[in-house]
Amino acid sequence: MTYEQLGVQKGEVLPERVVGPPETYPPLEFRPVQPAQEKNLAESYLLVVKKEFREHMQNSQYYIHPGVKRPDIERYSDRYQLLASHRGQLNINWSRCPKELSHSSAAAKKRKSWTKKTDAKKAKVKDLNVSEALEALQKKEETQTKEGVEEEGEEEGKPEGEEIEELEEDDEELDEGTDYVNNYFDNGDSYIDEEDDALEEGGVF
Amino acid sequence: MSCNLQKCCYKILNEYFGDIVARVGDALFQKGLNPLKVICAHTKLPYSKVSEALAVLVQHNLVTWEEWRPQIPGYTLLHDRILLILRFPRYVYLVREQYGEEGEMVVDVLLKEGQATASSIIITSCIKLYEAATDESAVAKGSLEQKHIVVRNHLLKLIENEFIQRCPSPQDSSVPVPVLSIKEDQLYSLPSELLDLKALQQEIQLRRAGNTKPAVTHPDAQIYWRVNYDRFHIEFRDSEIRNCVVRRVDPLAGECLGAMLKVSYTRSDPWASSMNVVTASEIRDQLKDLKYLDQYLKILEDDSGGCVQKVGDAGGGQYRLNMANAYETMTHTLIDNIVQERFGSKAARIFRLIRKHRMMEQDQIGELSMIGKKEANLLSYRLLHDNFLRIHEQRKTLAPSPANKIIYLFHVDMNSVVRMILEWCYKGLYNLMVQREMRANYNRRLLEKRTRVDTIVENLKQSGGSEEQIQEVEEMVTPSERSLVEQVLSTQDKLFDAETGLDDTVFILQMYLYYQMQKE
Repeated sequence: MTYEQLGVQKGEVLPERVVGPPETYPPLEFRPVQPAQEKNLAESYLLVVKKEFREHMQNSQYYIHPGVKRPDIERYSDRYQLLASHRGQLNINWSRCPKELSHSSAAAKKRKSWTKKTDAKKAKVKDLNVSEALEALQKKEETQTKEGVEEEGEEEGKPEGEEIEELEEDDEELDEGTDYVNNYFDNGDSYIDEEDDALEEGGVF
Repeated sequence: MSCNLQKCCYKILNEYFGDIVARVGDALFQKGLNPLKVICAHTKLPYSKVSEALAVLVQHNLVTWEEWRPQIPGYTLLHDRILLILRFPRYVYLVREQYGEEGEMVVDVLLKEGQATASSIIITSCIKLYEAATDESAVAKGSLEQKHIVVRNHLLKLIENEFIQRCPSPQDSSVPVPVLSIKEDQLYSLPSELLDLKALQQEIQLRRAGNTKPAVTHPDAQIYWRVNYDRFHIEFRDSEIRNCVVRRVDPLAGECLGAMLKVSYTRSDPWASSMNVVTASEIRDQLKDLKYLDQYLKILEDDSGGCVQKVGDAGGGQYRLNMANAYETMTHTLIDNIVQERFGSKAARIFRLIRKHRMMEQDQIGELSMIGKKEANLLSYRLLHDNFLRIHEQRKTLAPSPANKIIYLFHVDMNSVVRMILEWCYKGLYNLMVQREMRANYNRRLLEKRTRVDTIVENLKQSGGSEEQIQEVEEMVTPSERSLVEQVLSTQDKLFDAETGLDDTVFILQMYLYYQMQKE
């Protein structure tokens, strides 16, 4: 466009050139209209319903609270706050959702902690086994020169048997794990504990 | 699908369902269809929380799913529905006006639950009604006993009028990704054998006695219902048009239009942009005691912005209702007003002029708008700068030469203006919510103190505390604090009201876009 087309005559003073981005909050040229001071019945009713609805939703089971983070310092009052924020699990018809959303998720978490515990147990058992095995080996070394091959076989057979037992144990534990998923029902009593272990230390007072 | 809409949806979800649901919703908004694991990765939230959040969204009809990969569902967010959460009070109010308190309670319960079985709706609403009744007085005890039947009747009526519809149900709930489906004829029918009234009454009494465990399983345990938003929107759309006519002509004209709508619905699809023909005699049947019907029809034809069209003279005059035209006129007026408020009345005049003439040259604008040439130019450039106007280049030849001037034509692209204003509305809604939250946070301590004092006073009153005690507790809030609380609360109310108002505007603009899409 030329200046003439923009409707500017020659020699006319042009508004200053704009350099830089516009302001974030430019001054308003016109004041916005004030909303009506007098509200009619319908409006005030809508307001009441809106507030009530909002409050209801915030206190309902559908308002999901994040797992409470453990503060750096334990305070006595925290216990009460935690208890106050405790809420039951969602109570909806899970058959109307895809399977993966339903309770199994909570159970899966439980299973994890379960296997962790059993792992620890197993480790202890293994430790014992190792020391036993070492002792056995020592004995073996001592006795090897004295006794025959048959006994050696027996001695060796023993730890093997133990190992098999251990494996079976493992299997059982796994089975229990899966069974657990099917049968487990959480009534929400131990909700906080398993969610974030928030009370794990808090419990020792 | 825009940044503003996304922020707005996030805020709404945050307010009504908490931060976790909001973050899940936000991830779905950005990424579209996604399986659970990807959402977890994107939101960095634990698996259990994400699935809980998705379940909440599914329960409130905000998320659907389909089979994404074999055995794995992918989720989609229905972001339009999230905006409807702001409209919930209007739904409740509408039902209150048409069906009274019981109907209102039914819709209220259903909106709060998202999806619910008929029996649970009836039980919850009855309990709430009892509570409300005992507050006032224990009048008409006998009628309270039969409340569940009254509520049931209202529920049936609402279903019959398609305000509430049946949710599709899974065919086989044992598969990992159930497919929801429903037959057309089941959508709006509640078979009476599904409701065991005696069991309902028993359970209501048990619940009122403080027993919270569900005693019996009701026969309709697997049949869920939800609110049919579209039906409500028809109602809103009509009342909006009626109100316009009432404002423009008078209440009787509004009644006249209402009668026309009623007749039209008997023979045409309510969402069609132009309805089937209605004759004047049919309208007269509806409005027996209206004296000047013919005159009113004439006025409506001239003055309703193309909503009422005369198509023939048979049967005392044949008329057709055209919803698309009605909404077009309404949107034009709305945008004229917005331009007027933002740029002043002179700019509004230019805008109207260009819209009417479709294409206008620079000089023409100055002449026809009766504004000084220079000012007219300045205003039209400002409108152009803010995207209300567009420029169309008209060249005589393709080769640019000084001899043949290029003609620049100003015009209005209504659709893009409407979309832009819709964006502004979303942004405005977001700003309102942020502002409200900020104010609430800023004054949190004060507001909490106020509620604490209020509860103590309430407790004292109930336990029969003396006047002095109450006075003492009341004085814990100093007068300056009291006035500040009042101020904060009234500002919040204003912000809430503004939200409702903006939602009205959003509704009109969305309607306009819907009818424009139909045209194409």
